[in-house]
Amino acid sequence: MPTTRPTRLQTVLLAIAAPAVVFALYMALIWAPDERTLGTVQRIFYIHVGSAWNAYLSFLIVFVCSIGYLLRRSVSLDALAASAAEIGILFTTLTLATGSFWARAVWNVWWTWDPRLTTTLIMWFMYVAYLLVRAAAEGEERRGRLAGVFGIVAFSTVPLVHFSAIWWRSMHPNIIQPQGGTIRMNMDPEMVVTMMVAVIALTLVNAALLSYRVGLEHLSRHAAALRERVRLEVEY
Amino acid sequence: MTRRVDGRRLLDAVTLAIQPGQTLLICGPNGAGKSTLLKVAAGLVPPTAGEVLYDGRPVSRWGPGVRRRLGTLFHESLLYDELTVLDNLVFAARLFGVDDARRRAEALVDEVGLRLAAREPVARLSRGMRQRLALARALVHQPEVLLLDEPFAGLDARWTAWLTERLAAERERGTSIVLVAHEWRWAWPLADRAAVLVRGRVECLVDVREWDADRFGSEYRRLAMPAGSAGEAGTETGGWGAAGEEARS
Amino acid sequence: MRYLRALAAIIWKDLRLEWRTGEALLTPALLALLLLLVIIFALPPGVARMEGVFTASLWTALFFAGTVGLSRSFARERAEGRLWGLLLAPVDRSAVFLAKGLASFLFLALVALVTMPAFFAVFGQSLAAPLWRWVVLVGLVLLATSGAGTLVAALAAQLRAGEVLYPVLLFPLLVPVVLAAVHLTDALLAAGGWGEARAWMHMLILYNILFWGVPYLIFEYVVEV
Repeated sequence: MPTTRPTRLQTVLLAIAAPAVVFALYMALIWAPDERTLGTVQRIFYIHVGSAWNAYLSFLIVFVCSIGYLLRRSVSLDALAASAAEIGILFTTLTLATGSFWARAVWNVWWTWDPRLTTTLIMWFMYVAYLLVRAAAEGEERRGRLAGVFGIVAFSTVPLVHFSAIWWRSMHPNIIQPQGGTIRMNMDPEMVVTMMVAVIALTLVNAALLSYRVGLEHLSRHAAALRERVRLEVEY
Repeated sequence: MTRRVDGRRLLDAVTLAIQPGQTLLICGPNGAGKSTLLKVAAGLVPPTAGEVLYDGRPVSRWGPGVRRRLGTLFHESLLYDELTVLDNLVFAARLFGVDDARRRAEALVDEVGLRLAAREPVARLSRGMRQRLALARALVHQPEVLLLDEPFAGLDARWTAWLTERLAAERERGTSIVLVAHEWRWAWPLADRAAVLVRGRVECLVDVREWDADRFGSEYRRLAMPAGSAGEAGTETGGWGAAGEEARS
Repeated sequence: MRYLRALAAIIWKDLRLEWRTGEALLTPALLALLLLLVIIFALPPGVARMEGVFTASLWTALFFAGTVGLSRSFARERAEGRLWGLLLAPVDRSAVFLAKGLASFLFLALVALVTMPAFFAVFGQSLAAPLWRWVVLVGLVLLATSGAGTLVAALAAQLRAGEVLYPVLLFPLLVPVVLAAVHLTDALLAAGGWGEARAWMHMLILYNILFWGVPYLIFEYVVEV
C-alpha cells in the first residue's frame, strides 16, 4: 500500500538536489566570468540550457515508458510517463521563459518566430495535448493505452526542436557544435564547467520532482481504487 | 480465464469448453459478464489472465486467420445505418474474404426476409428487421463457431421459429454455438449444456438432457436473485468442471 | 491476398458511405471554399497579391478543412460496435489503419483537387512550376496528413469529447508537415523547382515514413477494446 510519508529515494534525491541547485546558482551568478559582448545577461544561459536538456530528458522518459507500457502493461510505467510529461512541460515553460528574458535583453524582442523557438513552443503544445488525452480517457487501462500511443507519436516533435537550429538558418545561438568527429564548445572553459554543473543540478531537481510526482500518482490511483470499491459495495 | 478492468473483476476464473456441433447456453442477470465473455471469446478483449483456446491452441498463437472461423452477434448490430441492407452484407462478406460476396449476400437477404428492403438504408429498418440483418451478418461467411448475444431479441414468433430451425441446422453441420440469452427458455431446446453466470462466475453448469427446464429455472432464480449472502450459492454441477482456480496475471 | 481483399473491402465501404453522407468530401470542400471567401474579404485590398499571402491562405484553409473530414474517419465507426466489426476481420489489424488512411487520403486529395484551382484563380496566381511538381508536393503533404490524421482519429474516437479535442491533438503533430508545405510551395512559386527548399522535401518524406510506419506498427494497441 502506498504511503504519504516520503520514501528513502525521495528523501535522498531531495537532499542532494537542494544543495546542488544552490551550488549551481553560485557558479552561474558569481563564479563564472562575464560574457564579453552580452555581459551579465548571459548568465541566464546556464538555467536555460539546464531546463532545455531536462525537457528533452523528460519527454524521452515519456517516450520510453510509453513503449514499455504498451508491451508490459505495467501501472508504474504509466505513472512514470504521466509524471515525466508534466515535469517536461514545466521545464519547457522554464526554457521558453528564460529564453524570452534573454531575447528581450539581446535581440530587444520578447519573442521571434525563429525555427528553434517555434518548434519549442510546438513541443509544449504537443505535451499539453498529451495531458489532454490523459484527462479525456475513461478508465485506467484505456487511459494508459491511449496515452501510450500518443506518447510515442508525440516524441516525433522532440528531435525536430533540437535539429531545427542546425538544419535551418536559425538566429538561435549554437554553442555546442560537432566538428570533425569531436564536439567544439564556443565558450570559455569556466563557462563550460558552469554549464555542466547547472545541467547536473537541474537533472537532480528533475529526478527529485519525478520521484515525488510518481509517489503522488500512485497515491491518487490508490485513492481512486478505494473510491471505486466503496461505490461497488454500495451498489450490490 | 479472468478479465479485470481497472481492478474490477468482470469475469472471474471462467472455464467453459464447447465441442463441434454442440450448443452452450449461457444465462445470467444483468451485469453478470455475459457480453464481456463473448467479447473475450471473440478475441476483441484480451483476458487479463488465462487463455481462449481453439482446437487446444491459444488464440494469441493462431494469428488473425482464426477469426475467419467466428461468427458473432453482439448487442450492438455492427451495421452502418447509412448503407443499404445489401451493402452491409456485401461489405461483411468481402471483409471475411467470401468468394462471390454479392451472391452470398443476396441469398442471405432472401433468407432473412429482407428482399424488399434490400436497397433501403439500415436506418429505416424496424427493430426486428435489424436483428435479422445482424444475424445474417454473423452467418455470412459460414463460420464454424457462432457467438450469439441475445439472438432472439426483437424477433416475432415467425422469425423465432426460423432462427430455432436455422440454429438446429447449423448444429447438424457441426457448428459450435454459444448462446447468451436472458430469455433462456427460447434457447433451452437448442442447448446441449447450460451455464449460469453471476457476477462474472460460472455458478452452475448443467447437461440439458439430465435436467428439465423447470428445475433449471428454479436453480437459475436461486442463483440470480440470491437472498442474503450473494455469490456464496455456487455449486458445481455435472462433470464439466466450471469455475477453475484463478490464474495469475 | 486475404489482407488486400479486406483492405479493399474497407475502402469500398468508406467510399460507399461517403457517397451517401458526403461527410468527408462535400463538407470539407465547402468549408475550404468558404474559408477562401472569408480570407479574401478579411485581407485589405492589395495584400492578397503580396508574396507569401497566397501560400499561407491556401494551406491554412486546406489543413483546417481537411481535419473536419479526417475526424469523421473513425467517428462514424463508433456507434453500433462497428469498429469491432472491422477488428473481427480475419486479417492483421494494420489493414484497418491502412484502409482508413488510404480512404482519407483519397478524400483529401479530391478536396484539394476541387478547391485548389479556386485558390489559384482568386489570388490570380499562376502555376509557375510544372504540374507534376505540384502533384508530388500536394500528394506528399496530404499523404502525411492522412497518416497522422487517421491515427489521431482512431485515438480521439475513444476519448470523451474526442471530436472537439481532435484538432488540438492533430495540429501539433502536423506542424512539421505544414512548415514543409509552406516552404516548398514558396519555392515552387518563386523558382519553379524545389531549389533551396530541397531539405524540406527530405523532411516531408521522412514524416511520411514516420506517420505511416509508426501507426502501422502500433495500431493493434490503438484499437484494442
